[in-house]
Amino acid sequence: MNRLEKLPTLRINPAHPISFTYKNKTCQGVSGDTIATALYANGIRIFSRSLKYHRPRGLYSLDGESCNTFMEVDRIPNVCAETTRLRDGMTVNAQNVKGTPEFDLLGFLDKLDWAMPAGFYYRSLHKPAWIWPIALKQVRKAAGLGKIAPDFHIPGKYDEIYPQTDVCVIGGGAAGMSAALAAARQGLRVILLESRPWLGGFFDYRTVEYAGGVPLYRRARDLVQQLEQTPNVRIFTHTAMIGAYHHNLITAFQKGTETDHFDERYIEIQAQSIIVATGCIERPLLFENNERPGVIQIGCAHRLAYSFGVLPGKRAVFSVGHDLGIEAAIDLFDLGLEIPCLADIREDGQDAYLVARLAERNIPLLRGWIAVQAHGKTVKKATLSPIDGSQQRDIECDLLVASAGMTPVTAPLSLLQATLSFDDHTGFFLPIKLPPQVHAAGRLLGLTNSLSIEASGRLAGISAAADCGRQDVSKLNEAREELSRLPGPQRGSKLVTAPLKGRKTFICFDEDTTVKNIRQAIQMGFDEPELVKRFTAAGTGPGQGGIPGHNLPLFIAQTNSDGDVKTKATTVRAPLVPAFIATYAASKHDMCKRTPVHDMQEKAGGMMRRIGVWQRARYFSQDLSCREEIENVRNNVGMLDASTLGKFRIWGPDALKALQRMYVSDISRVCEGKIKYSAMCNEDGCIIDDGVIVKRAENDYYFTTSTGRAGSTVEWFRYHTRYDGWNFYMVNLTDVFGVINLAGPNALRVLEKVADTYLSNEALA
Amino acid sequence: MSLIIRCPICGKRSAYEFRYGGEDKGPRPDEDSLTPESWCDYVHMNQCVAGIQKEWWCHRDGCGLWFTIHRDTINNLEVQHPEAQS
Ligand SMILES: [Zn+2]
Repeated sequence: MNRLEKLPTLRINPAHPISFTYKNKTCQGVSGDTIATALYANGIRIFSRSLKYHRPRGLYSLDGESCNTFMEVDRIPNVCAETTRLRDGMTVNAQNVKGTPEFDLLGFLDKLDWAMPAGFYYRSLHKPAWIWPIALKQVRKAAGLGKIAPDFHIPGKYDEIYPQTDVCVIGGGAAGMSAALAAARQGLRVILLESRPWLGGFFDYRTVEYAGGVPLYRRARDLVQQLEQTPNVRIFTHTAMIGAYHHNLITAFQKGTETDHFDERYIEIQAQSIIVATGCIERPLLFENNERPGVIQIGCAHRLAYSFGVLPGKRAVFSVGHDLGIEAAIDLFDLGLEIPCLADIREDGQDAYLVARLAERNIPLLRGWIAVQAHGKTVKKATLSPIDGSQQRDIECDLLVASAGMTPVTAPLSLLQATLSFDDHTGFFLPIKLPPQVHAAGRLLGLTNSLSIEASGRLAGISAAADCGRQDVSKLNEAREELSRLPGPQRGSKLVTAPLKGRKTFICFDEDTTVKNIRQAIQMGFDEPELVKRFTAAGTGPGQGGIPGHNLPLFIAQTNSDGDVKTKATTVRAPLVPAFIATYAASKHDMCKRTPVHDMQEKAGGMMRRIGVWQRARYFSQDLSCREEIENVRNNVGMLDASTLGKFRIWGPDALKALQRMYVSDISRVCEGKIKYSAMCNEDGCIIDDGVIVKRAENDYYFTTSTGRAGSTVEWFRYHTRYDGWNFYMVNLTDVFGVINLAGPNALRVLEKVADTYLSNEALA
Repeated sequence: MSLIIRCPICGKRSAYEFRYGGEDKGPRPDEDSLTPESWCDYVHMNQCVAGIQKEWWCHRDGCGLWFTIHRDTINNLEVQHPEAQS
C-alpha cells in the first residue's frame, strides 16, 4: 500500500487494512478511507460513465458535489463513494456501464453530441407521437444511473431521533466550532452538525500557520477538544443537513459507524436559534474536457494527500483562482508531487508569502493564465493559455488541479428563507437579510482569514445566545469590535470559462450539460437561470447543483450582454443531499402486546396475527377453511381469546352522566350487578364503537370497547365532557384483565367446571 | 412538524405528542330546544380563521389533559396572551 504514513493531519490509520471487492477483485483500503479514496489509492481513475454521453468520470471532489463517484455498493445503486466510509467486505461495482468503466461499449455516444442539443428529449422525440414510447425505452436503457431490482430490499438498520435544543449550528469548521463554543459558554444547549466524519472543515488538513506557530490543523483539533469537554454541546459528525422548515426545524441524516446501532439515522432538530456555518465548496473551472478523470479540485488533491495519505498523481498542472490553490501546490510539492507550473486566473492579488514559497520551490507562477483543455481519456496533457487566448502551451501531466474560485454553501440559508444577493466584491451570493433567529458565520460570508472566520463564529454564537434569552450586550459588542478589526471578505474571481470554445465543456456533470447547451438555451430565449436550469437539466442531478449551482447564474449573466440581467441564484430544495427513503422510513418498530394466554395458544398451534396493537391467534387448523374448528364450536364448545377488548372502570359522582352522553342506550336502566350491551356514536350519529356496560355500584361501572378504540376511549370521554367540569374517574384496565369468550352448546358446562358452582341460563338472567 | 405546544401540566412539548381537538366553539347547545339544524351547525360550522384561533389539544402521549391554546394559523405559532393584546 502506497500511503503517506507520517503526516500529522491524517484521518486514516494505515495500520488497519480493510478488504473490499471491486470488479470481482479483492482490494485493500485502510481504516478511515471512503470507498472513493480507497479505490483511488488502488489506482482506479475511472469511476463511472456519464448519464448521456457515457464519458469516463473520476474523482473530482470529496464531498459528493457530483455523481461522478456514484457506484453500486453491496447491490445498493447510486451510493456516493466519496462520502461513504469503506467497510470490510464491501462489494463495489461501477454503474451505467456496458462493459467496464475503462472500456464502455456505449462510449461512442460521446461522438453523437450534435444529435442531442439542449432539450432534444422534449423537442424531437414526440413527432410522430408513436415514436415516443419506443424512443423512451431506448433512452432509458442507455442513460441513467444505477439499476435496482424490483424485489430488492435494502439491508441495514435505520433509526430516528427528535432532539430539541437552544442553538443548532450547521457546519463543524472553525466558524461553526467557535459559534458552538460561544453559545455553549452562555449556558445554552447546542447541537453541532458536520457532514464529514470529523470536525475541522478547511482547518483540518492544512499545515499553514494559524497564529503563534500553531498550524491550522492543530488549532482545529484544539477546538474539537474544547467542544468535547463542553457537556452542553452535542456533536453529530457524518451528519448532513437535508432540510429546514418552519420555526427553525432542521432535518439531517447521520451515517453510522461500526459502533453505532444504526447505519443511517434521521434527525429532526427543533432549535430556538440557528447558525449556518457551512463554508465553501469550490467553483469548477470550465474548459474543454474539464471533467476528465485526472482533473480534480484543489481541496480534493490537498485532502487526498493530507487526510487520506494518497499522493493524487505524479506530475500535476495547477490552474487556480484563489490562494488555497497556491497553498495546495506548495504542500503537495513538498510531498513529492512534480509541478511543472501553476496558472492563476488572477493577474495580481496573490498572497505574497505564498508566492515567495512557490518561488523557493522553482514552481513557475503564470499570472492571468488558465487551463483551456485537458487531453486523454484520463489526463495525459493540459493546454494552458493566457485569459485573452493569445497563445497556447501544452504541458504533459497526469493530473490537472483546477478550480475557478470558491462557492459559498448557501443552500441551508436559502431553505431558511434568507434573502441572498449577488455581491460584486466576493462574487458570492451573500445573505443580505436573515430571518429572525438565524445567523451566518465563517467562510460562506467571503471571509478567508482564519482569525476573522473564528471571530464571526463567536459573534454568531453570542447573537444566537441572545435569541435564547441570554442577552450579553458587552460580550456582543466585544465580538463585533473584534471582527471589525480583522480582515474582511476577500475579492473573489468571477471568471467562469476559459477563452477556448469547444463542444465538451461541462457546466453540469450529473446531467451532461455543456456550456454549448446553455448557449443554445439562451439563444432560444431562456434568459432566466431557473428556466435554463429546467430546459437543460443543469443542476437537477443528485449533486443538487454542487457543480453548476454558482457557475450557471454567473455564466448566464455574463453571456446575456444586455447588462440589465441580474445574477440570480436558482432555488434549492430539500433534501440537500441524496438520501435513502429507508432512512426517512426508519426501522419498522414491530412492538405489540401479548395477551395472558399468548404462550398457551402458540403451543396449541395457533397462527398469531396482528390485530391493532396486539398479537392474537387467528385460527388453529392447518386446513385454511377451519371447518373442523367451526364445527366443534357449533356442536360442542370453542374458546376465543378476547383479551384485546378495551376494558374500563368509570366511577365518581358524575360517572352515570358521562355514560349517558357517550352511549346510545339509557344506561340509567342498568341495575346493579347487571350487564347491558350498547353502542357509542360520534357527533354525526355514526356508530363508532360497541361493548357492554356492567353496573358495579351506584355511579361505579365497568365497560368494554372494541380492540381498536381501547387506546383512545379515555380521551374520547374527556373530550365530550370537556366543557362540563363533571367529576368522574376513569381507569384503563385493558392490559389488566384477560378475557375468554366461550361459545357452543357445551359452553355452560365448561364454565360450570371453572366456576365450581351450578350455572343455568335462568340463574344468569 | 414544527409546532411546539405548551401543556399546562407538562410544559412545552413537540406537537407530535398531542392530538388536535378542533377550534373552540363553546359548550354544547342546550338539549331542550335543540333542532337537527342547530346541532349540525354546532358540529360542522367552523370559523377557520386566518389568524389567532382558540383551539383544543389533548396531551395524548403525556398527561392526557384536554386544554386550549391560542395559535396563529398563519405562521403556526402558539400565542401566549392574545386577550391581553386585543
Ligand atoms: Zn401534559
